[in-house]
Amino acid sequence: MTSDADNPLFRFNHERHDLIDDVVERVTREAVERAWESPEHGLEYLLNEAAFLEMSRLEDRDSNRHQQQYAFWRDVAHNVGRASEEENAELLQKIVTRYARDIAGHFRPGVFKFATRVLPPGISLLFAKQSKTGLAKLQPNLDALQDKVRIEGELGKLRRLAKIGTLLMVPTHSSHMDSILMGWALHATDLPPVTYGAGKNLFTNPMTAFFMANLGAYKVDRRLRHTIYKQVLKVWSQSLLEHGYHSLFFPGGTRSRSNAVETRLKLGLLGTALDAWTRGVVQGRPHPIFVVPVTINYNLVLEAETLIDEHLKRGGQGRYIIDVDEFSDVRRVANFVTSALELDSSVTMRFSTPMDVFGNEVDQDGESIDVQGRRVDPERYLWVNGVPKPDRERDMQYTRELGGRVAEAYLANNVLYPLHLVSFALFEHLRRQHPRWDLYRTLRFSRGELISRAVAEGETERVVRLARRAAEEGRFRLHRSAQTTSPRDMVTEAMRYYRTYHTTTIAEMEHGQIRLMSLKLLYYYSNRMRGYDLERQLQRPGGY
Amino acid sequence: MAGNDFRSAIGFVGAGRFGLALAQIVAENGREVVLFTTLPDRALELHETRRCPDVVPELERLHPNVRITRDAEDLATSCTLVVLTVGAAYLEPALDAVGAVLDGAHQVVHAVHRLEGDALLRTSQVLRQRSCVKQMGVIAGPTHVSELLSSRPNAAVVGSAFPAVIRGVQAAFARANLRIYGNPDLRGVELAAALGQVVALAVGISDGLKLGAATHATLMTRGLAEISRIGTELGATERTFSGLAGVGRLVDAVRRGEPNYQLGLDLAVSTDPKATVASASVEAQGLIVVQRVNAYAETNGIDLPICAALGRVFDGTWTAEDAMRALMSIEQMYE
Repeated sequence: MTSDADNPLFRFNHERHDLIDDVVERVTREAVERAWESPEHGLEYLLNEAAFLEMSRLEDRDSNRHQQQYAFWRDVAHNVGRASEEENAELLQKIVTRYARDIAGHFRPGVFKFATRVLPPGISLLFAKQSKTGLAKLQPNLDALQDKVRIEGELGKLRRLAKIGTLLMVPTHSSHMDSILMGWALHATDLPPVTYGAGKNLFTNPMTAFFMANLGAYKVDRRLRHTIYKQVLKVWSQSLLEHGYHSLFFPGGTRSRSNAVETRLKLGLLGTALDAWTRGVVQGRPHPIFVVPVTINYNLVLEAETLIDEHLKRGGQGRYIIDVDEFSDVRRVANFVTSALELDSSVTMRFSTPMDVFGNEVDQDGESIDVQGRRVDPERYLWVNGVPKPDRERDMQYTRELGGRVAEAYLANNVLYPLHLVSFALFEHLRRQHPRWDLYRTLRFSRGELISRAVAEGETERVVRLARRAAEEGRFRLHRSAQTTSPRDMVTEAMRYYRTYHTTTIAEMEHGQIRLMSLKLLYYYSNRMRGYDLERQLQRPGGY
Repeated sequence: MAGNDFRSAIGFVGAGRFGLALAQIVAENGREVVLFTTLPDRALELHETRRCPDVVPELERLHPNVRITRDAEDLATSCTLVVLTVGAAYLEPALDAVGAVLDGAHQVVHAVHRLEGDALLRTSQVLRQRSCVKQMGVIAGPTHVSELLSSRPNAAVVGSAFPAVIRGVQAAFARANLRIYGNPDLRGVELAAALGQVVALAVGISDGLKLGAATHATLMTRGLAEISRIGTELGATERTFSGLAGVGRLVDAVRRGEPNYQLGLDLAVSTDPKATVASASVEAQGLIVVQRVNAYAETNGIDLPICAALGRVFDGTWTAEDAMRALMSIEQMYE
C-alpha cells in the first residue's frame, strides 16, 4: 500500500496557495512576454478574444450571475483598447487569478481515506453479479471485479518509478467508464492516486461534488474556449507535474468515436510533460517524469451507439477532459455492468512500458535507455552549446515523436476480443461485396443484407489466422478467448452479443443466415482492428 | 566545457568521395572538421599525405582544418553536427563504431540513400535503432563532387523536422557555389533520393536502346509519378519528389551518367542481363532498391509497372526491349 508520506496529494493543501500564485505569475508573465515579441498577439488581442467569446456565450443567459459576468466582459471589451499596456496586464492578472482559483481543487486526506475504503467495494458492488430474479446481492464482491477486469503490465516497476519520479498516465479513451476503472486499477495495484481534470458539472452534481472537490481533481469548465482560460488550464496541469503530482490525461482528447485506437494525439497537452521536465532541468532541480501509456480494452462499450453516431456526423470536437456524466447515473452504469457480466464480458487494462518525456524507454531505476538497451542521458536532448535550454521548435518535434511512441504503444497493447474479429470479418466481407460503395453507402444500403453462416465462419477464420499471426509479431494482442476459441464459436458468441447487448440489434440469425441490422455498430466494433493495414491483406485472394 | 566553442567542429563519418569533398568545403568555410573513418589505411594515407588520389583525384590537398581520427569518442566530444557519408553497404559497420558514443545533443545528417529490408527502412530509421539520436536529417540533391571542388554552382536539400538541424547544415556548408535548401519532410527527402535511383536506371535502359527523347521524357515523368506513389504510401509529402532530392537529383543523375543510369545503359546493350547485373557497381543502389520495393509492393498490393519491369530484367526473365515494350503497352489511364 502506498503510504501517506509517499502520496504527493497529501501535501496538496499546503501547496495550494503557492501553486495558484505560481500559475498566475507564469501565465501573466508569458502573455506579457509574448506581447512584447509580437504585438499582434498582444494583451489587447487576448483580452478582446476572451471578451468576445464570453459575451457571445453569456448574452442569452438570464440569471443574475450570468448578467454580472456579461457586464464584466462588456466593460473589458469597452476599455481594453484605451487602457495602457500596464493596465491591461493588471486586468489580465485579475482574470487569470480568478480562473486559477476556480480550477484548483482541494484534497482532503480524510475524504480520500474514506473514499479509498468505501469506493472500491462500491464499484465492485456495481460489478457484482445481479441475481436472475432481479434481486441484487448487496454485498461487496471484489473478486467479481477482479475476474472481470484484468490488469496487465510491469506493475512492480511502476510502483518503483512512482517513488523516483512523477507518473503521467496517458490511457486510451473509449468510455466514460475509463476514469472509474483507472481509479480502481490504481488502487487495486497499489499505485498512487492521480490528479486529473474533470468537467465542472461533476463539481455541481450533488452525487459527485463532494468527492470531486476533495480528491485532487481540478475543475475544468469546458464552456470557456478562449486562449486565456486554456493557457491557465495548461499551466496548471503542467505545474502539478512539476510539483510531483502524479497525473492523468487522455491524449486522444475525447472518447474514440469510431472505436479505432487513437493515433492522433493532442500534442499540446502531451507537451506539458516535456515542458515540466525541462523547467526542472533548467532550474537545476531535475525531477524525472515517466509517461505511461495505458490501454483500456473493452469487449463491449456502453456508449457505442451514441459514439458511432457522432463519429459518422463528424461531431465530437476535440475535448480533452474527462467527462464522467454516466458516473452520476448509477443505474445506467449498473445496467451496463450487469449485462456485461451476464455476457461474460470483460475489460483488460494494460500498462505499457514507461517512457521518458522523449519516448525512450526507462528501466527499473528510472534511467532512460535506447533501443539497444544502453543508458541515455535525457538532459543531452536539451543541450544547446552544452547547456540545457528550451527551444520551442525543437521541443515541439520531440513531443511529436513522444506522441508517435505513445500511439505505437497503444497499437501494440490493443487487446482484441472475438467480437472485434468477427465484426471485422463481416464488415470487410460486405465492403468487398460492394467495392465501389463508399462507407456511407455501405452503411445505408447493406442493412438487411444476409450472410450465410458458412461464409461468416469462413471469413472469420481468415481474419483469425491473420490476427494470430499479427499478434505473434507483436503488432497487437489477442484476448485469451481470441487465441483459443474456434472461429465457429466466435461467430456464435458474437451473434449473442449482436442480439442482446445494445438497444439496437446488430444482427440476428434467420434460417441459418445472418441478417445484418445495424451496420453502424458492426462498423464500430470492426474499427478496433483498424490501423494495422489488415484490410489490404484480407483483400488479396488467399491473403493470409 | 560549456560555452560557444562547445562541440563546435563539424564531424564526418566516412572518408569516401562525397565525405572528403564536403569536409573540404566545410573546412574552407573556416570551420574545424573532424573526419572519422574505420579504415586504418585510409586514415594513415590522409593523415600523412593529406591526399587521396584513388578516391578524389580532384582534391589537391586536404585543408588543415580537417583532422582525421579513428577514435569515435574524439568525434563525439568534438562535434555537435555529424554528417554520415558512408556508402550504402557500410552504414551498419559505421553505426556499430559510432552509435554508442552519440548522445542526445548530437545532430546527425546522412547522405546514405538506401532502403533496407522488407519494411523499406530508411537510414534515419536504422540510425534510430542503433543510437539514441533524435535530431536527424538527410542531405540530398544534384551535388557533384568535382563541381563542388572546382567552385561550380551546386545545390542540395536538407530534410529534417528539426529547424536547428537545417540551420546548422546551412551555416556549415553554404557558400558562394553551394546553396542549401531546407525541407521539414525528412522521410520524403530520404525516399525521393533512394527511389530516384530506380528511375535513373529505367531512363538509362531507354537511352541505351536509343528510344529517343519522347520515351526519355515519358519515363522520367512516369517514373517520378511511380516513386512518389510509393513515397506517399510510406508517409512522404508528394511535393518533396518534385524538389531537389527527387527531380533535381534525377535530372543530374541522367545528365552526368551516374552509376544507376550507367547500369541502365549497360543493360540495354547487354546480351546477358544477369551477368551485367552481377558485375554492376556497388554504387548502383537502384538495383537493390528495385528488388526491395517490388517485394514490398507484392506484400502490400501496390501496382508499380516500372519497378516490376526492371525486376524482370534483373532476374533475366525479360530483355531490356521486352521491358520497354511492356511498359509502353500497359493499359492507358489518367495521369
